[in-house]
Amino acid sequence: MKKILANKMGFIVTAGFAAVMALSIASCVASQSVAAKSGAQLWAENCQHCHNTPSPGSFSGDQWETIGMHMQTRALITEDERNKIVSFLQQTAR
Amino acid sequence: MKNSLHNRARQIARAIAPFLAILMAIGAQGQQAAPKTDSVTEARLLALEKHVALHKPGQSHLLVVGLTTFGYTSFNTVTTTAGVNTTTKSSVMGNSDTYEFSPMFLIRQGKKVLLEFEPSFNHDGVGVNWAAISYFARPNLIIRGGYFVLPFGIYTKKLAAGWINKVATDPIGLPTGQDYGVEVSGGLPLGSMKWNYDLSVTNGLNLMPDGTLSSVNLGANSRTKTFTGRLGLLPLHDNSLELGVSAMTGGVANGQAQFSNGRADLYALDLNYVKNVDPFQINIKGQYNTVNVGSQNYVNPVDTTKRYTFNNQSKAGYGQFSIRPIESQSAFVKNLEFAIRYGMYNTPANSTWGANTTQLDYGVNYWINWRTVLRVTYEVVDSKSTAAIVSGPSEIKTGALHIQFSIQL
Repeated sequence: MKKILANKMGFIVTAGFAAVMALSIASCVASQSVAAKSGAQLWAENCQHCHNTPSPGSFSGDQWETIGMHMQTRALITEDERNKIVSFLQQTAR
Repeated sequence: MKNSLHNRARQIARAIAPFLAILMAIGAQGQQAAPKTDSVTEARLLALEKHVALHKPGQSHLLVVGLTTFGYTSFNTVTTTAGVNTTTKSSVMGNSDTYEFSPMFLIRQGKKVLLEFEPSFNHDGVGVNWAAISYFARPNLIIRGGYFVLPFGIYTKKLAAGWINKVATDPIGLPTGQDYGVEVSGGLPLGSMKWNYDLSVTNGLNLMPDGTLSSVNLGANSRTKTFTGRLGLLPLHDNSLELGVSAMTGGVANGQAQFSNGRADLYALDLNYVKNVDPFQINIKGQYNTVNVGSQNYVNPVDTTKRYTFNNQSKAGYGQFSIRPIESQSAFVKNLEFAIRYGMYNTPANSTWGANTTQLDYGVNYWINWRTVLRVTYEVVDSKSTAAIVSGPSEIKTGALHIQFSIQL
């Protein structure tokens, strides 16, 4: 039994991961923390993870929309986070 | 005289009254119904309306951003061969660490499609960092195709840009970065935590005659594909910590008879921690990766008709710590950042390229604004040879002083 489990471990881990991922994508429920956080807070927390937090006045509202999509592909923030961060930046954009 | 003028005015008013009435009637008619147009004009209007409808103003948006880096590096190299040290000094403006010009084109179509294209000019000439199309299929599912950065480890995809990096050079020993293929990725909530996934199938790795791996431009010679994936977990509610695990696997023979069934398995662990602890911002980053190709028969560079073998396993990793007094009262001091990085890279012993290499960096950055940095880095790279077959230096130790300016626009 142990041997079978050991042999199938790769498959079990992969299948488990795929199931969790599929359920998560399908549910698309915002996490409690994201739902409770403001766009400004998410902007501060997520951007500085890789680089300095950008100045909202650096780009126009339309440009922030495009940059938000680019950063979602790069930093893999959730869509809720992206929407809140972009809204915050657009409110204070140039 | 007064009466005469008055009468004259009355006569003029009587004379023009009918004309004014006609003009007012025409004006009223014009307001009630649009003038008729001929068939040619109508056809032209229809064509223009169709053109405007296709153009979808407001849905398509082009943004040109990008980065550039330039600087100066001074080298002092000590080479040890058969116990004898030789010192050489040189300096350069425009090597891989001191020059890059990379505009980035982002083309957004609505809120579902994004094209990303970044050509780059550096000392190797003109190349492309990435050229891919992303489709935002579900809120947290992005499907991408094209030429993109592989999701292996954290540095290459997220931290490599000159205006993001904390020291002037890249860590040593990170596997190659980009390839052609398809990718799915996204970030997902997990209670008060978050996690993200990034999985790709790409053209694949290729095993070179000396045992090193290359990754791109295989074209029709690509017979097996490479699977790469990274899972990231952000366990803390403030997103300050991210832990990642990556794997890359695939056949590498691509029809080369001497490497029958050859494959490569690569694994990586990475860490990224950024925390504001008043008055500082603390930044810790690290990555450790292994490359395992196993034993194959490689071409003997001394006698190419002969073969030899070695355990083709490489290990590399780096750890980096930086600190910035972001809450300092002094405008000058708050823009300073101090960084230290240690890296190691061990390539296969008894190969022609075997070496145990360490890399130590000390850096000071001055942030002119959030995306512009002036940095000074002193780096020592010490490489001790473990190579066989070919003769060469037993040790090369290089001290380098980098002065670098980097900006993102």
